[in-house]
Amino acid sequence: MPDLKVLLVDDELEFLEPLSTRLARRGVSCSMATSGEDALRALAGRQFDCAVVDVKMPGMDGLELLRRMRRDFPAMGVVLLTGHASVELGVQGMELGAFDYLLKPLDLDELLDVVRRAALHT
Amino acid sequence: MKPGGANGGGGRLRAAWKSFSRRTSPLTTGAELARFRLMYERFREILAYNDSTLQLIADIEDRLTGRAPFALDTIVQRVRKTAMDVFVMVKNLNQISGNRHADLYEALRALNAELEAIAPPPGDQSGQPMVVPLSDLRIHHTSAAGTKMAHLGEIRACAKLLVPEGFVVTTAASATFMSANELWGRAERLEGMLETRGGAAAVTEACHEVQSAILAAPVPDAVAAAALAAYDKLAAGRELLVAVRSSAVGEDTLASHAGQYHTELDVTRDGLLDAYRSVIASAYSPAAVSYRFERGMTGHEATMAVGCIRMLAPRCSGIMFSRRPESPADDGIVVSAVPGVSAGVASGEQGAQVWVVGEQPQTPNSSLLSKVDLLELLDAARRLEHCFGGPQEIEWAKEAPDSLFILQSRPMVVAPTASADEVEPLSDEPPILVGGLTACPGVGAGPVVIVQRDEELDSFPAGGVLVARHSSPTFSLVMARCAAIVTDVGSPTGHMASLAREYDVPALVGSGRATAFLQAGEPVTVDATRHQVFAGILAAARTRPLAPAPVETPALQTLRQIARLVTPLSLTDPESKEFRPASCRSLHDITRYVHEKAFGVMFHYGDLASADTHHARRLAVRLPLTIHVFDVGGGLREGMADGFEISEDDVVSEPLRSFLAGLLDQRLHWDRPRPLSARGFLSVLGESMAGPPAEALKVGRASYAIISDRYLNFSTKAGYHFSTIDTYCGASLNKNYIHFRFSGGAADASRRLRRVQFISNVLSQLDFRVQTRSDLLVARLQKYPREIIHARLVDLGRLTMCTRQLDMLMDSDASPEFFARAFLTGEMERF
Repeated sequence: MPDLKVLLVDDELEFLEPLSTRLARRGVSCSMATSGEDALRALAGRQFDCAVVDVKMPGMDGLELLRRMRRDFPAMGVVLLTGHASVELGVQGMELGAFDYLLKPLDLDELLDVVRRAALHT
Repeated sequence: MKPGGANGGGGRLRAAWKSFSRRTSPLTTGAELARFRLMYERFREILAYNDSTLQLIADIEDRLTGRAPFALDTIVQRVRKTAMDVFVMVKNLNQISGNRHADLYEALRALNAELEAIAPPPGDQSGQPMVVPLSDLRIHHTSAAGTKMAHLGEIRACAKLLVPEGFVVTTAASATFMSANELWGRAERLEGMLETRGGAAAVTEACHEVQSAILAAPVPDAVAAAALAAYDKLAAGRELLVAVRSSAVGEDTLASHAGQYHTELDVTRDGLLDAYRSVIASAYSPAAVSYRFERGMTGHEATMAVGCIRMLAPRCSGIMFSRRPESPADDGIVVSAVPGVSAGVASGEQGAQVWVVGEQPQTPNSSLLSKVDLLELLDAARRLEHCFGGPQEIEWAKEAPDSLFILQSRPMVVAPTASADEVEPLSDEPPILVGGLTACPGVGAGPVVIVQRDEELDSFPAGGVLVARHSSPTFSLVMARCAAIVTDVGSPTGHMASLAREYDVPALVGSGRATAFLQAGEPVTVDATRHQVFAGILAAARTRPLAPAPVETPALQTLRQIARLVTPLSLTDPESKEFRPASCRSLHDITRYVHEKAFGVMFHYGDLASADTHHARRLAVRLPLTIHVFDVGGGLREGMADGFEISEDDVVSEPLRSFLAGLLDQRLHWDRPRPLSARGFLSVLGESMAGPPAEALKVGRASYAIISDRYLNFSTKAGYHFSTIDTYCGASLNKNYIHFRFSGGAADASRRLRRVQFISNVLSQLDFRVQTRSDLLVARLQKYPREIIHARLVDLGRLTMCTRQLDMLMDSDASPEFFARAFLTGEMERF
């Protein structure tokens, strides 16, 4: 099975970097973006199997990014992440077509399973 | 793990899975196995959150009885967390069911919006002013300025009476102060501690810790600068002393906080910030925290605004009741006064002159107040009553030349009118003490407990008569459990007197020498109404109910509103048309719906397995079934050889082992010809020729077992019927269950129904709750100990074998009964 290509989007680098390292160790190749705009630029240049997106980001937030990803890259599964448990954001995210909505702190094994499924989701 | 990972099994199972999957690395990259595991995890998570939601519902219902005080904030936080858990349940159900219940999102969204309207999530106070001048305040500014300062603004604006000039440092400022120093979390835990440990003594240390942290914390620049600027404006270049006072939200409403919070007098500019911290800290004294807790006030009501007002230089000052406490209907007032500043009157440390102005106007016999002064006070009292509606307890001061200032006005606690059935205690002996004033009327009896220091209140015995030199508001700590109060010094207009009336404790104050006359441990009867104390327990002494009757507290009211959206269950019947997302009116309804539908999905878990033959392992056992095993975590032995076939010994999943024991029961001779009635046989042939159900052809005789160490989902098409067992069996009774579903069959309808009747008879005898509809049967066994679950799984294994072709035996209406008895008595040769 070829490596999964995953785009990680979060404004907190201190969260992004260790996550990327840990996923890479498990055979997932990760690209990082620190904002919604940054993520869209990355998507323009490369194909990803799945995107993992933090909900709360300054500028374009995770839900807006999700909306654009679903519109422009419908084949890519999008997993939302949040440190801030909100029913309303969760419902919006799922209704906008997120593959899953995970709460921080993350369980890496769970994230791996979700990412594998999200990549095949479409 | 997920938030609140109450699902103890998940993490452990995952760990078990990890150790397994590492050895069989080719499988770990498989998206199909990820799918199995995710489905299992999501299902387990639904069950775990279902349990925790039901626990919350039970706890809310318990709190709603009002029997015991509770920490509203703690419950509100749990409700908020539970709403999120329910979201995860809804999400998980949609994920395992291919989004078939997406309407639930809307139902949950609407409920959550209502919940947030009642109990808004902790908000952002930035943008609110840190300081507001008193001259801008009206009564509706309570949430920013606290009750006391908002009332002061109203006294000025509505009653047109003088109040000292000043300003308030707002609740937004104290929220800024608390947040900047990360003090909220610590402060909020105090109420939770009270609820779990009970008694003020339990939190004393924690309270002091919080108070010290507050006293040591820096005041953020935004707050400090605004407060000092307001002070400078007020002082206008002069040397000005201010009083720094608490003004909490909810303070001085009917459940008066009389004297629980701190006031600092004669504060200079240099001392302003220290005084500010002291007042904020006073909201977390053990007495204040337990007072709020017992009164069912919300933590929000501890949020303190702090008033800074000019110190008056009064000629005299005091307290006034706008009505006489014992006869509120009459046009009277009660005034107490001392020369100078009156702080000591209210706290009971200082005696005062008392005037009762009523039907027989009293001529004051002292130089403190003239008749004109008393009439001015009477006029002020009526105006304040008019503005605030109802009798008031008023702090006043007369400052030279002759200005009456009002310092505070709050609702007066009117004593319960001396009831007609209250009998004067009769004693052959004369009273051992006569004198003093009624703070709260009534008669109470019990052993004398002399209290000299506040710490002694911690060990105050229930039913004791509290005797003290001075009256003190800290006595509120024991008012719920003392029989009466007698003090040497104190005033009926003091804070303690208000509290005594609120708790309805007979209280006699200013008796002069009670501490000298009464011996500790001596039983006495206190007649507070008639200012007498007798030796011994007299017959007429009423026995106070020691626990306060449930009162409608703010916390109860809020909880009742919240409960309406959480606890009621209207989705009771899964067969009803109303069993749908749009009918969900509470979190309970949603969880009920998700729970029911999740089990429905799991009955078809095996279909997922039949579509994926890559990851199955075949169980090599001598049975007329091919069993494909999928391990989602710890169901197979560690260190097992790779390969397609596994043996019975490789299975460590406890429920599968038990079930297999039943399937392999030696008494069942499935490999021998069975007694077959000709009619039954022809009937089977008939159906077969008409064509068996399509799903029977598709799956044939394959069976699927999806397992973890404690979980089994077994689906099989034995013969022409389709059955599923879904079970979890662990150490925790509450998580254990077996769900069994059975449907279909090849024989004619009446035989199929008889077979369902047979299974229903058997399972009912084995404690299952059985529901049947046509030839579909669903049986559930829940919350049984592990041993029972295992025994029932053995029974179900046996039953699975017995029912393989059983409909061919069901040729009379008596058959179900006959075979059920045979099964239950172990006559396996009948099958």
